[in-house]
Amino acid sequence: MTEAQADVQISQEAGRSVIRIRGEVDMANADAIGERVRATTRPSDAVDLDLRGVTFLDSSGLRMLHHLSDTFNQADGRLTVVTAPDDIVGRLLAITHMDTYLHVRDDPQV
Amino acid sequence: MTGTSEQERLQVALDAAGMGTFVWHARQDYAESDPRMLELFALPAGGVLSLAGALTSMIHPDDRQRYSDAVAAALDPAGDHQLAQDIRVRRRDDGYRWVAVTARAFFEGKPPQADRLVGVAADITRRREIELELRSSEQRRTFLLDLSDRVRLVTDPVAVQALAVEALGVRLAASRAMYLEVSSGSDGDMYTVERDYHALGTVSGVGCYRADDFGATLFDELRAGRTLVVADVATDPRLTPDERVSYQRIGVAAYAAVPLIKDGRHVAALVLHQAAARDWDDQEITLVEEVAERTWAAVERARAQDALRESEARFRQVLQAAPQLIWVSQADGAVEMLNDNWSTIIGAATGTGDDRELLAGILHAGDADGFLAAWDSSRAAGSAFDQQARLRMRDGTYRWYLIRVVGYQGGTKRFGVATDIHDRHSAEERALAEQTEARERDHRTALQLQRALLPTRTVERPGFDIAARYEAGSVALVVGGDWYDTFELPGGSIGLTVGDVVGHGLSAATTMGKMRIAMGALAPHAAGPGALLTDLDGFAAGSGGSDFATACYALLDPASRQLRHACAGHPPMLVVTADGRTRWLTDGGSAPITGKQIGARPEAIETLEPGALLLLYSDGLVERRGEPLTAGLDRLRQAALELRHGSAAEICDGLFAAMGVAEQRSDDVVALCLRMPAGTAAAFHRTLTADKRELSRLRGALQAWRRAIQPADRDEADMLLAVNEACANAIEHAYRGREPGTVEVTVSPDADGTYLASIRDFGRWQESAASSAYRGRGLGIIRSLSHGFEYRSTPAGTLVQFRLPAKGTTA
Repeated sequence: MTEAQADVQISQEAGRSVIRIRGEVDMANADAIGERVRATTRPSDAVDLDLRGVTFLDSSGLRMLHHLSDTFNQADGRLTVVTAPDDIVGRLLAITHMDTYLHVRDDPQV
Repeated sequence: MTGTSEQERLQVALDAAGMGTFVWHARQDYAESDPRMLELFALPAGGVLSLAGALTSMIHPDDRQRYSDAVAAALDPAGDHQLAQDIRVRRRDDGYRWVAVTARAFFEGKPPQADRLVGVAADITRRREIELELRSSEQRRTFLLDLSDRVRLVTDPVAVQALAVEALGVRLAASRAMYLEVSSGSDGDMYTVERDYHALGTVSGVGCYRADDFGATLFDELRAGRTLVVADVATDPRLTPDERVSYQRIGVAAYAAVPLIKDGRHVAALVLHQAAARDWDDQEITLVEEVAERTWAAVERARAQDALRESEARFRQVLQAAPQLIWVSQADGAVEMLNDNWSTIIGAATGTGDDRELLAGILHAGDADGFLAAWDSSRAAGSAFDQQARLRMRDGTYRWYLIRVVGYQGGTKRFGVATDIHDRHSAEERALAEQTEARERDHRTALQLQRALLPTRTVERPGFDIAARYEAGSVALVVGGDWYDTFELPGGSIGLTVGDVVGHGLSAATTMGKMRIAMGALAPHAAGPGALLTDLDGFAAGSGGSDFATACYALLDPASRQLRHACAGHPPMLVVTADGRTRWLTDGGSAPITGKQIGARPEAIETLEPGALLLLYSDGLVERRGEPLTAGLDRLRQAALELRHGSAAEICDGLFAAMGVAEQRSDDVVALCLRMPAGTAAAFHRTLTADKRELSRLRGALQAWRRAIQPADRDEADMLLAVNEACANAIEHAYRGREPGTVEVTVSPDADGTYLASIRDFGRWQESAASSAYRGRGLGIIRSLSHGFEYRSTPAGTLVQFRLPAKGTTA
C-alpha cells in the first residue's frame, strides 16, 4: 500500500514479520503508516521495522515510532527499528536520543 | 586349304618374332632353312647350313664345345630330345650376334635312331646386352656399397685412400691406382700420393709430384674438370712426343684420370695406370668417377673427425685445468663430461642424469624456482643461459656462482661453466645494504624535517573550505622539496602557495623550508603575487644557494572574489566551477626561481565564481614517466571535474587516488584545494497553504534551490528537516479551528556561508499549543540542527527564525 509519499511492504522472513518502509515519512502520512503497521502485526510478536529505505523522517514519524514501540512493549512483543549506519533516520534518532528508547539495529545489508 | 592357312599363320608369327626355322637332317648333316634362318647365320640366299660348318667357322670358338655337346644330348634317344642353347654366331661384319636356338629331336626305326631336329632360332643380341649391362651395374653397385661400408669404419684419412685405390685397382685389374691430392706450392701445384695400389711387378706411385712434370695435356684437362682417358700412350694424338716418352719411361701404356673439383677448385684426382694398352670402357670410367667422388667425401669426413677429436682432446685438457665447474652435455642434457672440480668442490653427489638434474640437486632452495624457470625458458628459446645462484659445496655451505651455458658443435652439445662469484657477490650485497641504509636514514631525517617545515594547518575562514594533502617521495627514493602553505593577510585576503625545490634529500628539504618561511614573511608586505615572487628571487639570491625552484602563489580577496595569481615555472592552477566548467590559470606565468634577479614578475587577475574550486598542486601529481605533461594535466582536469562536489579534503584525497599517486609516486606530491562559498545567491521564498500535504513539495523545492548553490551533503538533510519541523508546527497550531491560512518560508544565504531561515504564519497560536510545540520534539530537532533560534508571536502571526550553520560547524 502507499501512504502518500511512502511505500509499506510486509513480509515473513525467518519466522519474523518484517515491515519495510520506503520514501518520505512526515505529518502527512505518519499516522496512516502507524495504523497500517498496527493492523498487520500482533504486538506480542517480534517485528522488524526496516527504515533503511526512508529518505525523510520528521518528528511526526518519530512520534509514530514511539507509539508503536509502546504498543509492542505493553504486549510483551518487540519492535526493532532497522537503520543503515550513518543514514538520515539513524542520525535523527541519535539527535533526539530516541535511539536509547527504541530497539535500534544498525544493518548495512539491504 | 586348311593346311596352307595354318602354314601361313605360323609364318606371320615367326616373322613378327624375327625367328628363323629349320629342319636339320642328322644323318646327312643338312638343314632345310628359311631365309631368316640363313640371315641369322650370315649365309646368302640359297646357302646351306650344316652343323659341321657352323661348328668350324660360324659359332664363336668359346661356344662351340657347349653347342656340340648340347646337340648330341638332344639326339640321344634316352634323353629329353630337346635343344635350347644361346650361342654367339659370327656376323658378316666380323662381330658376333647372340642367337637362341630351340629345337626338338625326332627319331626313326627300331631301335630308334635320331632322324632330324626341327626348330627355330632368334636373334637375342639386344636382350643379352641388356642383361649384361644389368648384371654389371648391379655388380658396380654392390662394389660401391661394399667400399662405402669398409671406408666408413676407417678413421684415418690416408687409410681411407689406400682402401679405395686398392679396391678399385683390383676390380679393374689396373697396374696402378692412386689418389692424388692437390696442394698449391710456390712453384705451382703439387700432387701428393700418400698410398697407392700397384699390381705385382709394378713400382709404387707414392710420392710428391709437380703438376707440370706430367705434361700440360693431362693437367689442363683435370683442372678443367674433365676426365681424361688414354687407351694407348703410343698412339693417342692428344699427347705430345715428350709426354709419350715420359709415360713410357715409367711403364705407363694407358691411363684414366678423374679430377675432383670442389668449390671451383681442383682438389684431388683418381688415376689408374695400365702397363699395356687398354681400351677403357664407359662402365669402367663411370666406376672410377664414382669411386673418386666417394673417396674424396670419405677422406674429408675422416679428416674433419680427426680435427674434432684433436680439438676435443685439447678442450678437455683446458677444462680440467680451469678453476670453474665445467660440464659438457649432449643436446638432450645427458652429461658427457664433468671436470674434476665437481668432485673436489661439490663432492661425490654428482651422479649421472642430465645437466638440469645435476644443478637442481645442488641449488639453494631460495634460488631454485627462479633458476630452473630461467633454465627452461632458455632451453625453449634455444638461447644462451646466464644466471646467478647459490650452489651447495661438499661441506654443506652455499656459495654464489655465475652459471653460464652455451651450445656448441652446431647445437649438438652444451657447454656449461659455473664460476665462483661468492666473494664479489657478498661485497656487492654489503655495499648495497650500506647504501640502502644510508639512503633510508637520509630519507627519514628529510621526512621529519619536511614535516616540521610544512604547515600544520591551513587557513580557516567561514564559508571557505580549504584543505591540503602532502605525500613525501617513496622510501625507495627520497624526499623532495615540495611545499604548500596558506596565509591570512591584512585586509582579510587569503594567500595560497605551492612550490617545489628541485632536488631530493636533506638539502632540498632545507631549502624548501627556507622558501616557505620566506614566502610567509614576505607575503604581508608584497604588493601582489608577481611582486612576492620577485621578492623570492631576491631571497634566493641572498641565501647564496644556486637553488632551482618553481612556485605559484594566489591571493584571494573573499569580498570581491577577486583572485590575483602568479606562477614561476610551476604547472598552472586549475579552476573548476560548481556547474562543471574548468579553466587553467595560464596567465601570470614567468621563469622558475634560480637565484638570479630577473626583474619584475607578472601576475594576472581572475574572478572566482561562488562555489568554484581553486586547485594548486606540484608536478608530482601530474607527471608520469613516458607520458607527456599535457596528458597528466588532462587527467587532473577530468578527475577534479568528477570530484568537484566533495569537500576540499575529499577532493585532495580523491585526486591522489585518481592520479595514482600511491602506485606511481617517485617524487613529492602536493595538492591544495580551496572552495569558494556558495555565495549570496537569491534567497529561497515560498508561500504555502497550511496543509500538511504541502510539506513534501516544500522540501523538494528547497532541496533543488540549495543544490543549485552547493552540492548535496549532510547539511542539506539538516536544512530540510529543520525547515520542515518549523512549518509543521505552523500548520498544526496556527490555524487550529479556523480556515487554513498560509505559511511563508524564506531561506537566505549569507556571505559567511550560513543560511537564515524564517517561517512566518498569520494565525493565532493557543498559548498552550505554542509552548507544547516548542517544548516538543520538533523544537528539539530545530535547536540541535541550528543556532540563533528565535520565536516571536504577535496577534498578527508568528515568526520563527534560526540560522543554519556553514559547512563543518554543525554542533
